[in-house]
Amino acid sequence: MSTITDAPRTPGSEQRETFEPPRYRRPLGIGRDQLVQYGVLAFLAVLVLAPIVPTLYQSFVDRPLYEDGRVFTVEGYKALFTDAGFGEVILNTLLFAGLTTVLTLVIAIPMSIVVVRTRLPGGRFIALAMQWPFFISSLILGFGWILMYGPAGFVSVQFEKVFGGVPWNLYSIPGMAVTEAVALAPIAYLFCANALRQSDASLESAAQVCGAGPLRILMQVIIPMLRPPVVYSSILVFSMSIETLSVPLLYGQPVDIDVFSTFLYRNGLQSVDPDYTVLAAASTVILAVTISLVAIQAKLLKDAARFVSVRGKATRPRKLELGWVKWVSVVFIAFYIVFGALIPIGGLVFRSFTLIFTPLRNPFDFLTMKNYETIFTFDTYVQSIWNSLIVAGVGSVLVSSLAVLAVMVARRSTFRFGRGVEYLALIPQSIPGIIIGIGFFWAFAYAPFGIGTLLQGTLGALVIAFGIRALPSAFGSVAPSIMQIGAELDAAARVSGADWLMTFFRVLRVLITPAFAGALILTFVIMLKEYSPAVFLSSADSNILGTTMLELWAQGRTGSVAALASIQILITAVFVALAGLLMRGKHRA
Amino acid sequence: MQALKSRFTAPGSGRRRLAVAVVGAFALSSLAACGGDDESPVAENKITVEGVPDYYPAEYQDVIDASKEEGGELVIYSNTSEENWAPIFRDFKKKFPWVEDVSANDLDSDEVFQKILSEQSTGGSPADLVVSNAAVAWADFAERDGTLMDYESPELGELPDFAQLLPNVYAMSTDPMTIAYNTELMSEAPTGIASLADIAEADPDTYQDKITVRDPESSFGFTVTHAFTEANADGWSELERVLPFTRAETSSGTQMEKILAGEYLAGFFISGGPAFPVVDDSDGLVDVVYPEDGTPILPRGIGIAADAPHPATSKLFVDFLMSEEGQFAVAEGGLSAYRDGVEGEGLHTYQEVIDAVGEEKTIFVNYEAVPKDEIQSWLDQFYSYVEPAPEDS
Repeated sequence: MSTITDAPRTPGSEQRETFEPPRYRRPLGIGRDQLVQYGVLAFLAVLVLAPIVPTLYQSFVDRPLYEDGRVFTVEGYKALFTDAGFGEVILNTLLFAGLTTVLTLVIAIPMSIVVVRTRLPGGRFIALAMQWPFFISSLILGFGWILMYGPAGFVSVQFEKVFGGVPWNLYSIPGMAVTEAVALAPIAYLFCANALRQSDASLESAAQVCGAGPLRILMQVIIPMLRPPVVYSSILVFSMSIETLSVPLLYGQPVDIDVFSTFLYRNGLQSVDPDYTVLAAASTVILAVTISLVAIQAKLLKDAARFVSVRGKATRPRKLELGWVKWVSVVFIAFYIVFGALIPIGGLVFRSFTLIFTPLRNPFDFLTMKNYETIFTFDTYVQSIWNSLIVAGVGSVLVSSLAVLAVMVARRSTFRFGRGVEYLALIPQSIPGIIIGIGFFWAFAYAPFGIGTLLQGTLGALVIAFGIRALPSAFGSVAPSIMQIGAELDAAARVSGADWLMTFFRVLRVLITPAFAGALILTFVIMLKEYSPAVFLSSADSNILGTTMLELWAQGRTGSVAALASIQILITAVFVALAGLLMRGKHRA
Repeated sequence: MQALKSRFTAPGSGRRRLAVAVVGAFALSSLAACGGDDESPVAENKITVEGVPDYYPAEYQDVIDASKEEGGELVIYSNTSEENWAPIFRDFKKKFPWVEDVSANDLDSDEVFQKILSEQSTGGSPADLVVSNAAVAWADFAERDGTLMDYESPELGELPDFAQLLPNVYAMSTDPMTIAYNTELMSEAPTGIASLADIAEADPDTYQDKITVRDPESSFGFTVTHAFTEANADGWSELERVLPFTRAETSSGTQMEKILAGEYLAGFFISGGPAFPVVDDSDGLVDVVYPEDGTPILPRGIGIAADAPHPATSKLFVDFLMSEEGQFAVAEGGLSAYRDGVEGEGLHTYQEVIDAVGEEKTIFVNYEAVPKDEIQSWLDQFYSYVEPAPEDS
């Protein structure tokens, strides 16, 4: 695109403008920039605070909100902190979350570098394969791991026959951390890969001119530039590990290892004597922890100008030649994909085609289609597949758009509450899903103008609740990409007369599209496998995949659970593959 | 910006069309996959359309007429699965053909109450019927004002006394708690808790951490185990012997899978509902037995919500469930029916348990509240018998 300017006229004669700067209306003295920015803030505030306010209120009230005669009390907090064994729970949780985060980064960073920045045979397939564990909820993944690597798992039994013993113990904190890391590594991978695709070749060329070899370029230019996605993803993974329930429950329950989420689960709704106050108090504590994590993150990402790599000039990231290091990482990746993803998922898919699945019997004797028949016989089960697709499809578009807007406001504008917008967008990441469900239930009950009754029990409620859960991931995936775009583009637009909104629509929008697409895929996958908020918000007509799986699990129909999980993986794989195909020319900004 | 304009005509567009075609094909094929026949291997249940047994009062016709005006819908909050409900809904709709839409919201046994209480306190719940087998939660729910509709079913006279679990709460089925075990890996078949303890003590290394028990802090685990210790004088001493070998789990699905795989050799107080299908599928690898020292029987209760949107249809449903036709359907769906005279190939019944262990050894779990301190002291005693796991808790 070029603008043709006339030769400068002599001073004194009239300057005819060849380019009309846009005019902006300012009704009531408020420009449209301010409108949009305040609008985003208000929208986010309502959405994010809606479930939090009832929870906060509940934590200070001595009885469930549906009972009369409430009395204000701090007993909930006292009970939480004086409970014997709570200290140990906190320690276990910190250890688990910390280990998971470290392992996640150890897996994701090398993998993203090798796949995106080196010439890897089958690179695209590997990129897709490594995301498979992410397509299913960690409950199902944990189940798959137990099937294969548990004390009576297929692989364990074979290993024992050959080597006489098994060196790993799945039912331990490291065991939980490994499974959770496999489940969450794809998030970190996506964030880093997005950022790596936008790297600036000129920085690396400069390093090369100074005599740096590929490995040095890697260590001293590329990896430090990954700080924004690494920080965002580690905070996200850490918070999600604090909140995750399924894997710690599956692995920790038989050996009495309690982390925060299982502690809440056992004292919460499942208990014979549920204590809502303690539940709410614990959620508030987690909220406080998350807010401090976001504050730390802000500190780490100060001086964001250091991470800019997309400038006014277009460049194309080059592939690095890493020599033997490449082959080591290929082996490592293959190991991760085969043992971390393929074998457990393969076991799960196989389980869906057998009546029983045990090392004591040849599974081929028990092949059947009955598990799939069970699902397709009942309309409600089939309906749940469609509902999930609708919720995930509509929700992902809405959430990704909101995330892009929020990142723009938070990191790309002079809005004075920009920091507030970032906090709001990231807070929901460690609130337990069931708390969000209960919180929204009460929010809908008390919403003005009867909006709540319109939404309660419909797919709309699920879109909102799941969307809030997916928002932090979407935000975290878009933010590093936006931070990489140089500020001189905005400045150039400003000089030409564009306001903030026009800068976004005309200049930045196309540059952000790859990040938007990445967020779309991420949120689709997250919302497809989400389920805990649905417990309180859904009705018989708004059943989704996750709740159906839980239902089947509780009745011992594990074959049908495996069948639904396989269907979920298939849907997600097809969607991601299609999206990847469609996005294929868009990676270069 | 050039890339933007040529996007629709560039080589990528062919791929886009292909992508759309693939999505379309996938959608069509999954539509086609919907709908299949459910098989009923059991003999067909004879239903008299719109007919009621002769011991019903004459005014019952008013209830039937009122139901016709209600729109043919029913909403149930339950912890019961679609498969369990399927024959019941099918036969209910056959009997009262104007009822077209019976939907069951499946929730966890305690969440049922939390949800309906929350809805009732904020201006009305769409639920007509409440079904759950959480004993303590039921007792709490029934005690509150304005939660349940007053209704006395005309079927009560034909059923044993325990059919009425609480005022306005009726038994739909009676689920027995079993011992499930892996026939290949167990040296001998256990017959009860004491027998299981004997087997484990005879070979402690093999059985250490190989027996599974339901988490006692969960509503279900507490209810059935507590009933066992209350009704059985030797209950605690038997548990004292067997608990050191156990690990706790939070779901029967997990327990059955692990017994199948051999991670556990046996498990006790596993509900018949999830266990029987696994026994059938496993072709003899897993079997269940009713504990001879006491088989807890957990009834599944149903009650009509106080401001049910369809009260007359709800009454018809409750009465149907307890009638002979309804109990056949209950058994066909996989739960254990308790009405006399209901029996057939592949149907599980209360009578079956009595035949196996004798009436004195069936422990009927009452729906009653347990005071908080009693729960705590019971739990303390339970945990004192469980040896700490290697990872110290």
